[in-house]
Amino acid sequence: MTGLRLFAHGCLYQYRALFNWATPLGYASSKLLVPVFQVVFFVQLGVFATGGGDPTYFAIGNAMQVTALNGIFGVVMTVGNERQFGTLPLLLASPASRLATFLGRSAFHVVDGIISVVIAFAVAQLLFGLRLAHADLPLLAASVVAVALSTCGIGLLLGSCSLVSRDILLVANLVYFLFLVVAGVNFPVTRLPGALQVVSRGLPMSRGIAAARLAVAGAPASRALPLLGQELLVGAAYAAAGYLLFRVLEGWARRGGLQEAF
Amino acid sequence: MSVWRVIRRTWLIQLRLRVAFPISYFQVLLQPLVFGGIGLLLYSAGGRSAHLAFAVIGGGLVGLWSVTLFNAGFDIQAERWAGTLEQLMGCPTPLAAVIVGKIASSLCLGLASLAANLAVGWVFFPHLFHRIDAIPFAISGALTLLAFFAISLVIAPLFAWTRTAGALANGMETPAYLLGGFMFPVAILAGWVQPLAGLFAPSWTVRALYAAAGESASRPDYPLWWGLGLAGTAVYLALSAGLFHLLETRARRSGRIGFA
Repeated sequence: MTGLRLFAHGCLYQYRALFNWATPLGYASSKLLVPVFQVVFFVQLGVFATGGGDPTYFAIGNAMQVTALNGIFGVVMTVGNERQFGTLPLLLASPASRLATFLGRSAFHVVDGIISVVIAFAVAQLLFGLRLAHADLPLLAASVVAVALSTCGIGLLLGSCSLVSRDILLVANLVYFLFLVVAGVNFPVTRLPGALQVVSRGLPMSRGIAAARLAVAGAPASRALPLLGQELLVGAAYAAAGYLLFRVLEGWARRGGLQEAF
Repeated sequence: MSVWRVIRRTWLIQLRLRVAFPISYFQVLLQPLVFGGIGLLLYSAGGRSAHLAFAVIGGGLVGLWSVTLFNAGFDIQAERWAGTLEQLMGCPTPLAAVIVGKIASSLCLGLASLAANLAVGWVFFPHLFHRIDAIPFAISGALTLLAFFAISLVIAPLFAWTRTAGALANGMETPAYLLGGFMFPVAILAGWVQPLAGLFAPSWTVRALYAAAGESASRPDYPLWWGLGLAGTAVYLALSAGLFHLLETRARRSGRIGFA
């Protein structure tokens, strides 16, 4: 099987496997209720807490942050479930390209994450009158794609960690909520203590959200594009670290026969 | 074995199991502190420090709900996955007694979550506690716990019918923050949402809780709010009794309780 075919099949089947066990109700619950209500809750909280602040600020931040549902939880489960469901030894025994297999774990989640953001933006527009009149829509779309890619990058790293940890969902939850605090979702990163600002700079998402806010405000692309470049670099660094870790763990598991050991 | 002993032993064993489960610490301590922290930053940034109680108490309520929802949602599912649900159904002790014990252990953790957030608030914002009207606050807190207990007893048998319990629990988490008025008053929500919030019993007891903490725009009407909260709780308990009966009857007839 060629690398490209393997990649395409991997993308499709792993996504179907993740949701195939679910009823339409379960899928809709994950796909619609979670992102929609996250946006509604934080916009209401933000507007009330700031005494009638601009809902657009909170709507953009939270709509972008829902990509982490796919990028973190989706990707981590897709990689981690191989061990959970006993298919990891089969995967490791196959001669398939590891890079295609590994990246195939995340590709569909990039697309799915983008769809989640579109749904979240639509809800924000419908309920809170998100102002997009001056928005640079192609730039906004580029920001959404960049954040979806970069969060999948960190998801791949965490997914690799899930091959040796049984508490990876705890870590995934931590990272998801860490984004809410440090990524400039509900308030500017500059309002955080210095140490948390450093953490924010080392994680994906904050630059992408900042770029999305610039795009919605109709700022020149020259201000947002460097942020998007940095966002993609950070995501690529996490994905590369995840792949490296995956290969190291694979070698370790092969030598010790520990593919399914917790 | 008496029903009370079953409840007590289940409570103890389940509490030990939950304490040993790492994600419990996330639900009990970290998630409430994150929400409380976001609330504190937003309320103080907006120059509305007078409303910080919404962040301090609200974070704890978020933790309480998260623990209640997810544990109740998985209590029966976990027995199914462990292959012990058939034995539980087959023994003469009512399944509801076992679930009550499990839910009681969840509420203990939820209470710890609320206490942790209040303790943090007490250290950093002691002035918020000076304006608390202690007796209504304690009564409202107790009624809130009772309402959560009753909701758990509805969720547990309801989720036992589906294998997508996890996805449903995920979807139900945030709507309760809105309908319950955990971190801001329900009154700011759209008019069509208000009746829905009224059907959610904790929204009345949480309203009373915040009024007792000095967060009420109007004169508190505790008897009405407590009464409506209790009425909702009673409805949940009646609904739960029906659901448990239905679950047991259908399981015994079909013999497929292990395969939702």
